[in-house]
Amino acid sequence: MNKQKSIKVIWSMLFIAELLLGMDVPIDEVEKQLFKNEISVNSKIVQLSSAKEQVMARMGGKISTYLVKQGQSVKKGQAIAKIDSLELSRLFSELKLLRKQLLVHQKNYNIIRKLYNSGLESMQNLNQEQREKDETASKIESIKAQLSLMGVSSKTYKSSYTVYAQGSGTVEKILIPTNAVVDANTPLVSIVKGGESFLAKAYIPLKYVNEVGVGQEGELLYGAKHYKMHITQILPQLDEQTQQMVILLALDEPVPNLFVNAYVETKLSIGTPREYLAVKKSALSFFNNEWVVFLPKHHEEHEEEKHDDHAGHDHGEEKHEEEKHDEHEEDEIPYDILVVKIIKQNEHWVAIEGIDEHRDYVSAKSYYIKSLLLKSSLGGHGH
Amino acid sequence: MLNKIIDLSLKYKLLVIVLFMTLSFLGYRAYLSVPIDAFPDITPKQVVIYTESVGNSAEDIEKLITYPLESALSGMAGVKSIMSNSFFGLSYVSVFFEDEYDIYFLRQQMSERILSVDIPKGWGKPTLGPNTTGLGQVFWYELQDSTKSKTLQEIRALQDFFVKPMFKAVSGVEEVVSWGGYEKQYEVLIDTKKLQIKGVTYAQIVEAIQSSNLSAGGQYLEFNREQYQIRGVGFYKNLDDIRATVIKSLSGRAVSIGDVATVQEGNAPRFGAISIDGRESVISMVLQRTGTDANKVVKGLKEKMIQVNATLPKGLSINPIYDRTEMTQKAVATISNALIVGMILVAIVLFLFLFEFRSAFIVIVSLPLSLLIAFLLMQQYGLSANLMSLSGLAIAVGMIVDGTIVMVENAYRHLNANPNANKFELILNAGKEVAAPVTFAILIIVAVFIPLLSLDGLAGKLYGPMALNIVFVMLGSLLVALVLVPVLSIMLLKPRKEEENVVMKVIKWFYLPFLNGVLRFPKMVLFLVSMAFFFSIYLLSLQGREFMPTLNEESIMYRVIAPPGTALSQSIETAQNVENHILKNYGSEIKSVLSMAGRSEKGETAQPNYMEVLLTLKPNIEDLELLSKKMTKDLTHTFEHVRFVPTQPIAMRIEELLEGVQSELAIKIYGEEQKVMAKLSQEIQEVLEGLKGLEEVEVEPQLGQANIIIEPNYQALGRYGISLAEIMQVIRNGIGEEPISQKIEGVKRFGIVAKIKGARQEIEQLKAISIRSSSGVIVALEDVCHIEVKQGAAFIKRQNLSRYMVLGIETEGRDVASLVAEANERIKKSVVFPSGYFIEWAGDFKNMQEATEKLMMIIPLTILLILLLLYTAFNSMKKALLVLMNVPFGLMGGIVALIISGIYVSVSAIIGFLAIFAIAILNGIVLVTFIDELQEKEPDRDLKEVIKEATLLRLRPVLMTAFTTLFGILPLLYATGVGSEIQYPLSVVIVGGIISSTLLTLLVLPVGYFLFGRSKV
Repeated sequence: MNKQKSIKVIWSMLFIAELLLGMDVPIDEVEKQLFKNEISVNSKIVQLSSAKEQVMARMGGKISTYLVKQGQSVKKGQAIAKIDSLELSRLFSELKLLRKQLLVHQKNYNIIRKLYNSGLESMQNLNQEQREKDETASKIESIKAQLSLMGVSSKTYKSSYTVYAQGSGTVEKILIPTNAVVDANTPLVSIVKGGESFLAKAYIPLKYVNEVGVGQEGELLYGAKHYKMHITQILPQLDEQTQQMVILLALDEPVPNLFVNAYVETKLSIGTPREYLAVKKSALSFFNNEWVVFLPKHHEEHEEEKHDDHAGHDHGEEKHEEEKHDEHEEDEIPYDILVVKIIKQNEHWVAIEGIDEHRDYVSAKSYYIKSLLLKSSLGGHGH
Repeated sequence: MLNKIIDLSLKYKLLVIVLFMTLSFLGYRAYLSVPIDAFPDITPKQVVIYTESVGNSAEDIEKLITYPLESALSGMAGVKSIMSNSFFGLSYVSVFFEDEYDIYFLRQQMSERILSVDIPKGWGKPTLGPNTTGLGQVFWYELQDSTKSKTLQEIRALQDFFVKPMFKAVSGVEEVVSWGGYEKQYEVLIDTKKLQIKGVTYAQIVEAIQSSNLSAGGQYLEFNREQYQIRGVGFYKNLDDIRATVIKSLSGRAVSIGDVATVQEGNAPRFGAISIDGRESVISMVLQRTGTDANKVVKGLKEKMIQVNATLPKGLSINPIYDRTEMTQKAVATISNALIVGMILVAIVLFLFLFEFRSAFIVIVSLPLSLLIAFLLMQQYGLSANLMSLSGLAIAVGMIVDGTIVMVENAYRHLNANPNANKFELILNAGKEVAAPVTFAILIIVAVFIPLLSLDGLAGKLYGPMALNIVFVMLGSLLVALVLVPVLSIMLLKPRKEEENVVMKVIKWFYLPFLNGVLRFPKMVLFLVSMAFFFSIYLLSLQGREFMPTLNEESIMYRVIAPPGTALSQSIETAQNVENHILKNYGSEIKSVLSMAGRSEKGETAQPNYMEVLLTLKPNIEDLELLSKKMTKDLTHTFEHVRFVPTQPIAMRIEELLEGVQSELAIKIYGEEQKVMAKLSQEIQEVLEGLKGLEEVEVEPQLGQANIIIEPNYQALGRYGISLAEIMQVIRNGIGEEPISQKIEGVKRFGIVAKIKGARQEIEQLKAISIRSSSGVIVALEDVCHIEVKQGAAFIKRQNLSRYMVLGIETEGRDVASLVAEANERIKKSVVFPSGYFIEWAGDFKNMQEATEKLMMIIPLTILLILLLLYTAFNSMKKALLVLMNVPFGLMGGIVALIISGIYVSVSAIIGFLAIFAIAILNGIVLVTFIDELQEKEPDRDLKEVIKEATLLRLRPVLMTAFTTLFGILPLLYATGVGSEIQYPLSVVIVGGIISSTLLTLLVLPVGYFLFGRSKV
């Protein structure tokens, strides 16, 4: 009887070996894989008003000349127009007057101070004079600042100023004809910002709120091509209707023939990419209500591994499985079952917990091993 | 009365001849028209209810469909038991009825009951299964494409819409079930992201499609004296129509299906596939209507096939795969051969014993005449000519002539004794002399077999027709013996100089010393024989038991089982590997391999992990059994990940049908919780390990099907304003691809599905399906539902309103009865059953048990009946018992034969024993009657001398009846064709029984008479 049994075992081992050769179960090593959190969302191509720059008159006046033409591309800081401004002249004359006043206030102050020191003048008068002096000085500073803002030096008198482009782009339109008189803040020229003028407005489910951040990369699928982009802004208001976050993405490269209002597919890599120990997705198998990976048994390493388990790991289930398996040693299916926890997955890989790096695992056709295990657990000591 | 019959028939000789000629003509016509089948219809009266519930899980189907159906049906009149199987996508409820009810009445009742069952909308509609029996699959064919230019989808469409209706028109065809290939469907492939863009919901799309695919009739108008019919033609004509369907208007611009989805042709999800010789294919199974003649149906189909082939597109043809009638014909041929050979042997035996041509002729003529009368009766009682009913005839062949022999022999003897007397008077007197014993003898044979008719269940269905046919043919022979034989005797018999024939001389020379010997030590002989009898009874009790020998259908078939949850694509791959392996390694024996994975759309209760592999054999196989064994071993080792269970087409259906169990022996564990049952089955399996004769215990794994469970999160649903119904609609139609409408193309119709792109490709994608609520909120499925993968039930089996689990048991080299007894003991000792859980044995064993119980009642009754008959005949209880004493002598021989040939005691063998009863009693009657007669004539003679003379004088008829019976049945013993193994135990027993009974009748009965019979004088 015993002899028969041992023969049976040998036979079954032989068959397994034959089976393994025949079936060619691929074995791979557990390795680290970078997992990005990629989500695919819809986005709408928009052109925000800020993308259309308008060069405005800073101060009322008459437009004397334009230094650019319609359709001309301009760079940041380039002069756009010259404006003759009565207001500017008024500013300069006011400045002159104030300077004179300041001198007078200075003199008065000095006199009152002397008198006060000798007790002939009241403290109140001294303070009064100082206030007036300071007021005048600040008025001067304010005008100086106003002038410098317009790029005009306060030292020499001028009656005209130049307006400059705030950013690069193309002159879309000259809005006010030459020689017209304009008020302050009147748009003179509109400049469309180059490639950067289009933005993608993407809607992202609220659950990614902790992962999404400015600067993260994305990809735009447009006309079957991919274009790189990055997140520039997360709008503070949730889109109420769809209950999703709205983020703006700027394109990093020019997209030909991009139309505003187009809905496009957008891929976003949100959160920080992380490395995990991972197995191929084809290695997974759902076994006894748990996800498992099959590991080929290394007979010479078996002791060591077991030891390792006791020392370091706390995967009770795994140990349980192995022990259970030891009881059925005569089954002789040369695979261990490892219960795994799926942390993350992408198209081909699954990040799992509870496995060592470089461990061999069955990377595909796990179905066959599952069947074999199930079959033997069902009885079938048929041979 | 008997005398009157003989009197009358001798007076109207011509009338009698005409009567029998008419009878034989009618009998011949009956013989031609009697339906032929392999088996009697052993299937129980059964009506099946299918409820297709697309895409739903076993547990839900059980709860919502199966259970309500079961409870509604359980109260119906005539219900014997209800079995059900709920599994992915189908609820299968099978109701078994008492046999006496009419099937159409039952179906009508069931339809009415079903209407009262409340099944939630969208969960399917219960329909009655085809009106066929479990063995209704009479013909399978493949729609073969030799040019290989057509796609599987096109072939399937041809099958469904062209070939199937043609075959369905054949008389007797109930249903033609298509299997394999792909069914076409039109797919509206929705990109859920676009729903957001266009501001439509999934439900709106479904509604738009449903309300845009309509037609209407608008009556007519009269114009210029003519009638014009008005038709609104709004069915989809092409894919562009679907694309152009408007979902809604968005600020003056229509959003159409084409804007949010691509419309394309696709394949409907399927539950089964067919592969032939490594290549997917389309087959079809033709189901025969209950009560029709399989042979006629197949004949009709074959005629139709020519027409179908002619009209099929070029390169396509119908290729028959399985034809039940081939097997039937083989089986019937086996038994007919046995019958014919038996007849010839009987004729030879008769001639040898009688050594006279004319009397032999009369006896031989009675053979076919009795058979023809039997056929006439078969036709009257609607009995089909099958393995069992025909073997009844074959068994009876030897006994048919018994009555005739006695009549003719007596007439001949008288004629020879008084060659110059009036022939009419002589024969009339001779006839009258033996009429009573002959009638009693035949009635006793009938009496032995009539109780068999009361057997119920499978045994009754199998052996009932056999018993009935024996009764028929014996009654026929009685008619012939009493009416025709005297007439023929007058016409044919001539006195001849009596000279003992050589054969008899030799026999007597051998026999006499033995007879003298036993008469010298009568008590000792009787003691020894009694001892021998009890010893043989003891031996019999040691012998194993089984229900029925396996019928050899001359085919190889496998059930192939993979773990539950195996994908269909994987099964197809396995199937094709198996096919290629078989063709490569067994190409010289195997012509073709057919694998059927999963199930056809309406049919088996199988899932993709289950396959049936049928091998078409080349004609020149020497040892099929060896080949089958070798192949099974090879396949089991080559494809280790699946289980191969060898079976045969008919046997498999029978097993399946009778118990819902697909193995010969099984334990059914009843209870509520599947997990508890699974644990119990594990325990039982462990307990049984190492049991002698136990080849394998196989747990039918009910659990282990991975389910992706989508459970709604009500809070989330409320937050986003999405209703549960919307989610479920997306799951059912969007993911599950349940058709939302149909595209009608002439007579063809194909489903239109609104399918969500990528939904069924991967779990992650399923989770990410976005759903747009009517208010515009867009969420992923996993935001509003908890989605997890969980192990669930692959299927749930129920019997009589209780769940059960099956433990299949394969036995080898041990009889089932003792194995069950030991197993029961072990289980009782070591397995603790929680309350509400219990086991029951099923499979063949149960049938055997039922049959044995019944036989235990029948046999004493039979003995009583025979005793009554004997008492009437002899008017003496002592004589009656003396004749009955012969029975044990016969049984001894049967038992010894059984043991020598190593056959288990089966129902077949038991019936053999019953036949021995009849034969032994016949022998006894002939002898006892004659000794009585002789003693009466010469009351003063020494009893020993009287017995000796009588025995020697009756030696010829006793031997003749014995030998005719023996040779009549001998061909059954040596038959090798299909079906022969079923009758083998029976013939072994009878042959053994005849030999011992004849020998002992000739030796021990005289002794018995010597000891107990004398006081009567």
